[in-house]
Amino acid sequence: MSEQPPAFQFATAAQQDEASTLGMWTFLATEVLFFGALLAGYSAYRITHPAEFAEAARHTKIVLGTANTAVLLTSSAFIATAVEMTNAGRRRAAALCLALTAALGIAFIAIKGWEYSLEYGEHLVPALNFDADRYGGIAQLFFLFYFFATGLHALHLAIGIALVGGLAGKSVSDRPPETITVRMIGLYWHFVDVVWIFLFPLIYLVGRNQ
Amino acid sequence: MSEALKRIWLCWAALLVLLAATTGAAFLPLGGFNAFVALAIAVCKALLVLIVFMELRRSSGLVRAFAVAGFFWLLILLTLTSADYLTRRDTTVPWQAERDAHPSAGSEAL
Amino acid sequence: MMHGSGTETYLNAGTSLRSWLLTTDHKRIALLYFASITFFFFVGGIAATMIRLELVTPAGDLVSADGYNRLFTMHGIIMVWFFLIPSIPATLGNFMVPMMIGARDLAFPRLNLLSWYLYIIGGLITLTALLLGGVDTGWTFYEPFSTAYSNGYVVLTILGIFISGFSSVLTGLNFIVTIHKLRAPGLTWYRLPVFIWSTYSTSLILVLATPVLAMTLLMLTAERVLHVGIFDPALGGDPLLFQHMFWFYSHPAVYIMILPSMGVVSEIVPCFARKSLFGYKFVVWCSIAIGAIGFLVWGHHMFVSGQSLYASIVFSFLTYAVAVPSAIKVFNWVATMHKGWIHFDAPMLYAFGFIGLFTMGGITGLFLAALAVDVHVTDTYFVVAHFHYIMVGGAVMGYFGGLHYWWPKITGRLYPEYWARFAAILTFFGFNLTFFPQYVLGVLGMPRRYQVYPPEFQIWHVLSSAGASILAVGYALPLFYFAWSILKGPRAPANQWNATGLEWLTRSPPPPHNFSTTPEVVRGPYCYDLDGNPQPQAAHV
Repeated sequence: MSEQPPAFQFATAAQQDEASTLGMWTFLATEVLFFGALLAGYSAYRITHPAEFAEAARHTKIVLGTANTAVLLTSSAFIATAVEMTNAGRRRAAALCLALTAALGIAFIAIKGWEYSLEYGEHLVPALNFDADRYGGIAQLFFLFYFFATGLHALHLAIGIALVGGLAGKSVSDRPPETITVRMIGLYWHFVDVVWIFLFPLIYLVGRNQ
Repeated sequence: MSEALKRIWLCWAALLVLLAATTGAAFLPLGGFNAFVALAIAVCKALLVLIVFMELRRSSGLVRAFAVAGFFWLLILLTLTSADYLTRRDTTVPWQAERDAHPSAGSEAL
Repeated sequence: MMHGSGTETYLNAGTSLRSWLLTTDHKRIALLYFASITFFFFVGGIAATMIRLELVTPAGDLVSADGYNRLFTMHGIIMVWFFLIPSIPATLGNFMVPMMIGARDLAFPRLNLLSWYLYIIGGLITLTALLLGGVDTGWTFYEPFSTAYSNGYVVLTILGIFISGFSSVLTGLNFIVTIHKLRAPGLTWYRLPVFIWSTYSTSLILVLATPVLAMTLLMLTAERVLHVGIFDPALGGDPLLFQHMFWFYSHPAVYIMILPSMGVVSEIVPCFARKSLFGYKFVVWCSIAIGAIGFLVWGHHMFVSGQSLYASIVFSFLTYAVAVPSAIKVFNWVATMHKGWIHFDAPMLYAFGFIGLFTMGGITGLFLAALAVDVHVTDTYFVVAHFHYIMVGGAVMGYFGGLHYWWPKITGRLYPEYWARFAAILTFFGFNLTFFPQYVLGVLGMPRRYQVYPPEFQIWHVLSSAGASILAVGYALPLFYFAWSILKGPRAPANQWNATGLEWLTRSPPPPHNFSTTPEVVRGPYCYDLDGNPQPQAAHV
């Protein structure tokens, strides 16, 4: 519950918090459809060219991908903990959890960057150096999807890192953030995690059963 | 609050178990079923994050409806688009059929 | 300025430029939008004028072939994204939604201002593309022409549309949360005016469809800029994927354009028939149904594209289904008028125009939904006539009706009634003369987007262009008499039309926070007694 009085258009702080929650979930719904549209494209090609997709997906780095998934899941646990800490008034614990969340987010991006560099070395980057003769046209479509989706995801994650980092700093300042604020940014962070939960099997786990 | 923390970190443990399961299952020779297993586990992980971390378990019905709405609408996009891709039949016109029967070296892809 | 009482209105509370450009008052933001979309309406109208002038003769003698492509493309882009989509929601919706639910503002006022700025930035970018030479792909940007062959300013135009898309999404988000959370005490869902329900349904579409367009445009840009083939057949890509993704947004988009107008008509008809809306619950659930089913029909734009026949059959069937709730609403409006006490003020004349023209446009939509008929008339002027009957005969008439209906509330002035009635009637005749011949042209085989045509079609084109000149006058007239009204019009009372909604309980123009005390709602909308006297939804505030 907020401690400050609500804005003039709201009657109570509770109403304002409920409005914030609904607003954030509406925004997340738009993000589901934004990323989902990319998935629609992916599905179309996976349905019509399953063998080539599987062949292309085997070039992804499953160890790094799995590690990254674990990193992101852990970061979600930390920001959920931060919400509880903020709610209990434990500002330094909250700041620590938020800082860990952001740090894990940075770790994710670092691992992703390392992955990208490996793929660059193997000539798997469309528009830059993709070796279509070696891998084929459909593989290029797969990797286009891969870079598009993970790049967009990383962009959303970077925004989240900035927000969470800012919250961490604010938690130990004179005007610590309200629980509702941490909760809302937590929702955003968890959502970025959910996107990755779906991207992971679609990118890394295709065609491994051979 | 320790209740809440226990719930969060138990959920985290479950998520890591599911991650190990999905990665492991990918290597099992299940044919077309692999895709289904991977997506099913992904849905489970997403539900855990949504229900526990994003607190849908103690949100109002309205908030839950909002949470579901995006995914439901995405399902519409995926289902009806797939309806086209799954039901297409390739029809060859006479000149294509002839070209396929007698492919000559260096011919254009289209 | 209000004399005597010395009370503040939203218009005179702060008169600096800064107080307007940095306002978070939903009413001022509505006026900012009103000015902007009026500007874009005329830009799109100039393109239409040039198209109709060119089509007077069968030869291509006014503009080059490439120039003609750019004209119809820019006409479509400007009219769809920078006029129709924001028109009612961002002007009348922004102004009226908080007032009709008894709130002091929207849930997120600063987000509302951001929405306007995003719209302006997107609009300026697209205008820049237009001035640099424009785009020639058609507003639909079909592949592979838009990615591989067009030498217009495709990416710049798309950037403008992409940015303004965020404006749409944020406005929809704001309305959804506001309608859920900021209703006055006693204002249950079934006591809400239909305009609110329609705005809610529209907002659902804004929020759920626009992101798919954003992604589609991004993918198109990636293909054009990076020369990678997502939709390129040479790489194994599918050009139909673009069409699926584009129309998944663009079909619901047409419901964004028509639902608010339907909401306006539902406000006007009970007021000017002095009678309760017939079948209120049917009307509100049909508004939701149109929004929902509207997401299931996009493939009817692709019947001849190479889409599978099975999918086409499914989409055809669903398209018939989506017409049903629209028809139900038409029946309900007419039933409302039955045994009512009809007043022929300008808003009601626009509502009449809407009902007639929308019905015609809607029925021709059913013709197009039939697969066999569509094969014959798709991509002809039949389609052009169909959607203009809905968009112009329907949506724009509803918009003008709403402008006239709420003008006294928004400005505190009265417009000249007889000029307004004349403009409404002139618009109706001009519209029919412009677009009915286009149905004939379509059936005769005149393709759309063609600059040159066989001489036997000329008579129909001449009729159409003549109609367009009359229509132009009908649209220009309000510009003049609305301006006159602001400067010299008589003062308006709080409730000019003796209507029942909450917005009519407060002053005209309203004070900055809309109501001096929060209304307590005691009954549903549109309660008129047998003598036609209004029973307002709340006591005086």
